[in-house]
Amino acid sequence: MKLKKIRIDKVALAFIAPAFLLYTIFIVLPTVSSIYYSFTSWDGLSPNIKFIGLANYKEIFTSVRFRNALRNTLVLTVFISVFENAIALALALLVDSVKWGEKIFRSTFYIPVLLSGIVSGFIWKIIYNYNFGILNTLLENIGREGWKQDWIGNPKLALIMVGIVLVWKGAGYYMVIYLASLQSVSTDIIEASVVDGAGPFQRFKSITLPLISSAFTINFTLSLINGLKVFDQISVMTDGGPGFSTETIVYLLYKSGFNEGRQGYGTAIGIVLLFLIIILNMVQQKFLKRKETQL
Amino acid sequence: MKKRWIAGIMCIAMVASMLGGCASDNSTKSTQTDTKATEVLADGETFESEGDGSNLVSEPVQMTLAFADGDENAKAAITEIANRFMEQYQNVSLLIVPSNGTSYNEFLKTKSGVGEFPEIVEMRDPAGYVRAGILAPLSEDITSLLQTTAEFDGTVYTAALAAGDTRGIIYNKKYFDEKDLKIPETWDEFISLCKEIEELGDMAPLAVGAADIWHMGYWFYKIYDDNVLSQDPDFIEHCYDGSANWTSPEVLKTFEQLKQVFVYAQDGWSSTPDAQMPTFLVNDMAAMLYSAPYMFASIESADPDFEMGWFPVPDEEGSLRLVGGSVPGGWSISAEAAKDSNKKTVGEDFIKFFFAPENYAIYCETLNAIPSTKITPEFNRTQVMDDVIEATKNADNLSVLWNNRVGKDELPPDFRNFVYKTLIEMCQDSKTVETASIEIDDAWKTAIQNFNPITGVGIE
Amino acid sequence: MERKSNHRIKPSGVIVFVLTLALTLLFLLPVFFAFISAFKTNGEILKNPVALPEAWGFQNFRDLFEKSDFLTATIHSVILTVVSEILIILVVPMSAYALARRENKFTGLVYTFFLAGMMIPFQLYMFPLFKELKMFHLFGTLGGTIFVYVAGAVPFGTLLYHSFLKGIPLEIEEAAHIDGCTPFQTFWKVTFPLLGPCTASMLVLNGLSIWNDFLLPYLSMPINRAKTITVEVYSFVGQFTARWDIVFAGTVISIVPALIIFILLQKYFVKGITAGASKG
Repeated sequence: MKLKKIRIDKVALAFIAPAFLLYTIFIVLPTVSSIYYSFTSWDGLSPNIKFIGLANYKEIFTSVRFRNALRNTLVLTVFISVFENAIALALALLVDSVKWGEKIFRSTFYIPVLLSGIVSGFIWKIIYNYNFGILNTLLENIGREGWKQDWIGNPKLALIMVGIVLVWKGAGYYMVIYLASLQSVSTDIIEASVVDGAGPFQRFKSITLPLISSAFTINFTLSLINGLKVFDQISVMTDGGPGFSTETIVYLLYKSGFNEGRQGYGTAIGIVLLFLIIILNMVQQKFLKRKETQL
Repeated sequence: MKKRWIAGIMCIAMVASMLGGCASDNSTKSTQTDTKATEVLADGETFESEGDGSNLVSEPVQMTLAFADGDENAKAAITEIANRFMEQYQNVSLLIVPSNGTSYNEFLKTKSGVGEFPEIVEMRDPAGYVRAGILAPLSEDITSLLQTTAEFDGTVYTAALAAGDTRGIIYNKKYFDEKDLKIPETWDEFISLCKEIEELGDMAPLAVGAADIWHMGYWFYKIYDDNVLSQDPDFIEHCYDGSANWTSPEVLKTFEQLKQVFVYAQDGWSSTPDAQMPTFLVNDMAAMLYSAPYMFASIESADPDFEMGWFPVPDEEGSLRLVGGSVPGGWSISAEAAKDSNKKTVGEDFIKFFFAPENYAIYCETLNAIPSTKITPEFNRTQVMDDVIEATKNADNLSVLWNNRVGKDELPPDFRNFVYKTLIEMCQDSKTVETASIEIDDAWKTAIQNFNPITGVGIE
Repeated sequence: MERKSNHRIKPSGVIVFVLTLALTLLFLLPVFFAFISAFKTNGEILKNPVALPEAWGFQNFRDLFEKSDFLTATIHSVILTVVSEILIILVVPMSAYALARRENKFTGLVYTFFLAGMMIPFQLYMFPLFKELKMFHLFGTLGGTIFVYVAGAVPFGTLLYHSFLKGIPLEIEEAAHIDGCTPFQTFWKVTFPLLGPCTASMLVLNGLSIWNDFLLPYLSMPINRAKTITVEVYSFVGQFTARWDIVFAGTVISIVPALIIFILLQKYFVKGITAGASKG
């Protein structure tokens, strides 16, 4: 576009302005305010706000509870990202091979995505219920009473069970992307490789995998970021419990700020979380981009 | 192009202002749906307006009213009283603000944070709000109605909706009679009773609903009161000034006894919500439940034929230390509203109206509440409720929950839940008693750096 | 490209079909459970979760509208979603267009600035946001909530449109320009129609997230009215009791429009997100 320079900038500005203004005012400004609050001991109520410097951050880095939340967050996020993508890919491959009703299957696996987070939490809360839940009742009915568990009351299991709900809810979305990616692979290449004598696994490895790798990159990034922000299901299913076994950083942030009257401290946790997201994102981008180009 | 831009922006601005105006225009619409009266009154009794349409104030007044409406019974009772109030005084309108059940504290905090604190409000943890100057002092004609009032620096800001909810064991009377089970007179006898029921194998001895974190407070407070507060009633204050801590033998004993009791809880107790407790009792899945009187109504509605019994749990020596007395929460008027003399009048009158015997009776009966007023209203009480009231009269000690105290005994903001959660982990064997007590002690030491009534930190 | 690819896992198509069908049924079991529960009583749900209702009554739906101002909640949900979507479409593609077509330091910075927003969790800035809204007299209004949603759509929307735009040849736009179109006209008349699939994706994804959103409406919608469908449904799971039957009736009502729109826009939606994904 070789228009006069000054007019371009004005035009570009005009185009960008509304989005820029809205985004800055309603997202960026509050976030920056949060930074301010993170240096205070504000309880969220009183008009007096006391500046306490880095005290909140010091507490975060020495807090056992925060370390627990960090561990839970990382475990949950990795679990969700890995399984969402694995299942999504597997489903995509499956649906791709189906001879009839492919479009229908594509829609059906997407249905859980259409639910709201809290409703998915409610549904699975009933499924996981120890005494009346579908899962345990099913196990009883097939004679496997010994396998019954207190799915979300057992601190060793609760986090993973929450993760399963999120994987169930999110896989459909990623599947759609993988599916479309698969279908964009030109059949000529496939045919050529068949002629060359390549078996199905060989084809998968050398052709399919590289071509869906960019889909994989973005999917993994998205699922990672979303995994770090999980809130609704934890709130509805476990409230961070039993004990602290499903308390993630986001949840700890929310609890500190609202339930426990420590808005300043909670905000500091939020800032730390933000940094965590940024770092993880950068690391993961570098790693995946390299893999992508390698393939 | 520029013209279209300006038009576009004006469009958006118009839409925004319209939508912004939308809400305020509708705020005067009376909340028909929120104030639907339900069948709170006894069968056959209809409400007749006593109001002569008298004017309480010279001009129309509207105030926002908020209370914890998660419990359907509480919601119905208070809504009914509010309706009666509006019937009585024609140019007064009370706008009930739904708090949507859970997290009443969060709801209040948000409202306060954006300057929309309700004008007549049921307070739960008032201390912070008092300090922030959000509540107005209550007049003497209100405070004189109540048996006891909570004072913050000598001034009263809240009128408790009920006296402390005395806890005890609600049990399956039929089962106890069948198996000839005896009411225990000491703590050890109680544990033996649990063991006996467990050995009978028909049902779990205890129902526990720890999915709701505050449920832990039932057992925790009782055992803590028996072991710690009996030795040192100012334990929390001493923790603040450093002369006591959470690793002392009495604390360890408390935790051990808690663990001991929880062995008898039903499977899956940590993910069972409090709301399911009646189900366990009426379906013969658990024999006993340690809870407060509000449960009576829920159990009755779950199964009207269920025979309930009640007994308080004694301590090791057989004495009865019960929960009772004044709570710091209750009806309050916002400082903002009190600035307007008309609103102040309406607010105060509503509170007085609430406690008027014929109205207060509805509340007490629906919730099986122990009246906080000097004059006890007439209402139908279940047998078990009489047992409860009898017990409070004869108790060896009455105290208020540890998280309901003010002054030097006030807990740091995040401490209660932290303790409960850690104790859940302890009862699930994820932590030993010693570890739990050390973690709690560490959390305490951290917490008091930001909040300490003795040194004044966090209490400006 | 709708070509059927040749990635066969198993030679027998029947096995694959049956397997897929079985997985689908299993996968949808929880949703099936929610659906039938909408027609049962509370007691029935807890006693026999997977059994079909004894009587397919609409009592729960009636209760839903009686016990809460569900109609208002629905109207709110619809207004929030539709108006937000309109504003998003007006605001985001245009901005992404400028960022994609005028590549320089400034737009590069703005692009990164926008994208960074994807990483900011709502819980972090929600409280200062509320204070801010109050300052602008927007707190507790539909308008304020809408603005937040539109602002929130900027990061991901910019990402999607930006990628998609890269795949659109410049020649058409240059031709339009030569014909005398202003950049504004060029965008709306020429480029925007070509962004169909991307717009469809945006509509579906943003619409879904607004329709299902919980925390923002819960904390900041008008105080004296019902808020949105999702919040109303949540309110039936109180601290002491839970009316699951009503909860699921509300869920059914909530999911039906989402399902319809998704099915209708499916084709475009898929094109849109994949294009965005592959150029990521």
